[in-house]
Amino acid sequence: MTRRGWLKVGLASWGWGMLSCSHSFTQPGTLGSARVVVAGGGFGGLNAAKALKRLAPELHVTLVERQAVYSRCPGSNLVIAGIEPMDTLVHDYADSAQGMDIEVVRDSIVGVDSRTRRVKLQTGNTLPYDRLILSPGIDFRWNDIEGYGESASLTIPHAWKSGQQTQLLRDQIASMRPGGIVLITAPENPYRCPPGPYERASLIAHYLSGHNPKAKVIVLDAKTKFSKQAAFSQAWRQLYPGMIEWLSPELEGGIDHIDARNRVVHTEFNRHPADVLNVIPPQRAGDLARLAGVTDETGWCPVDPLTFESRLQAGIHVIGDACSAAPMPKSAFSAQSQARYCSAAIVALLSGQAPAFPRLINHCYSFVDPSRAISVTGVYGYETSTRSLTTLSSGETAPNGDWLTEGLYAHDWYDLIMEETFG
Amino acid sequence: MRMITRHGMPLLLFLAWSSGMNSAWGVIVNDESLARGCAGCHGIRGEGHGALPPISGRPHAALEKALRDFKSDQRTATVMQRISKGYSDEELARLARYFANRPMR
Repeated sequence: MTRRGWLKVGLASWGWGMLSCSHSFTQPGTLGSARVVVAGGGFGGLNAAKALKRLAPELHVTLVERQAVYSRCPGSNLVIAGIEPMDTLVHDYADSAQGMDIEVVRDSIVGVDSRTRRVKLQTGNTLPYDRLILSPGIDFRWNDIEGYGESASLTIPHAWKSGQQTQLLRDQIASMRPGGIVLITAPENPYRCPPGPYERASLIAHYLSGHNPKAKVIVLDAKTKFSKQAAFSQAWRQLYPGMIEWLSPELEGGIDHIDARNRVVHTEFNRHPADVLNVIPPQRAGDLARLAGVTDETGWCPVDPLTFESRLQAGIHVIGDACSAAPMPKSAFSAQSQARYCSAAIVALLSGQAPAFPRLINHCYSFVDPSRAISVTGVYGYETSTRSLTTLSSGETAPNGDWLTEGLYAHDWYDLIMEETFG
Repeated sequence: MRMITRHGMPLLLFLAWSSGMNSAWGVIVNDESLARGCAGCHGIRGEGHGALPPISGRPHAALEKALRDFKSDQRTATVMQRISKGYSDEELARLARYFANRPMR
């Protein structure tokens, strides 16, 4: 790997890879003329833009986002279950970066030239940058599951990006025949929001137990185990006895194909007809990452989590769901945390200083009913020998944990992250 | 960052080595960087939010005792027992001092 213009400092024999910025497009101490472009206005991008301005108000920060409004995924399972209204998910960008001196450009990026450090916009403008932060989220691997392409998603929702898809799944569940079957297919790791499919099953069961009590929820999984499995299984037995069935690929042999017209999932050993079919497809980094040349053969973006700079393109940082920051999971919490560490590292680099070592946290709540939540937690340190993250502690809510208190925290955490991101 | 800008890289490298770079906690993480992670639940100023408690401006000794008690499971919590185990005792002491010195909101 070549890192043009970078000087390695330190003790290579220790595998110590601390990098010092000997040459950047901006000279040290001239932060005021430095430009950072942030692409993507989700939890990663907006928090990065805000963190940059908090840390270095003199920095010129531009946020590029193609949509006028953002529809959030966290909390969308509450909408699907009819617990919260759809409009609570939608946020207007005009309100999000006010008073922070962030230039918001509503446009699509059609090219990234990492050599001259410029992004090209659909309207024909170009934006020069010293550092580019990409937070493009995910796109789907259409047709990886035979029979499930983009056109099938118009009738068989994924609802794994928020918006019309969320409403479609909500409407289908609300109008399902009495005693019908909701079938959710869950993908192989890694994907956005590992506990999400199981929270969804829980909250749909909550809705059905009040409105369609003979209905069933089946989760057909590509994995043999899943996030917070012990507590979810306990919640399903306790709150929705007999209603939710989880099927391991050990029993099913994996999905062979989907008959979208008839809403039937064919596995290697069985066929599963559904009244409402929700396919959560396999995923990859958002298209913008591919355009910028920062994805590898996995479809995700390898980064050095010291700075979240791409391992493939100097000067481009990738945060949020799109980056490979294993063992950190892909979540809004992770994206916000990565945004803040990445921003601090960029301010250090632009100032000619060494970036501080990070100590990241992820903490994800899942509701099992409107007032009870369970969580998974990880604390991640930086491993200099491999330039990757390592888990320093982790854990999940116990099956006999205090779900009601976690439910209170979960609601307040949603409020907090929304206020800090979009407020 | 303060340590780096005042003394430059060699001291940082020396400190990292002398205090056991190969310990379970790995490299030296400065106070700002350690504290950055806490903001995910306690807010960017450590001000708390609703049931999520504030941590800025609280007495140093009480904060440090709480963090140590969470780590040793002498105090039960929903989440903090898991989080606190991701930090050395010395790091928890630095976090307590850092947040005690932050203005209460």
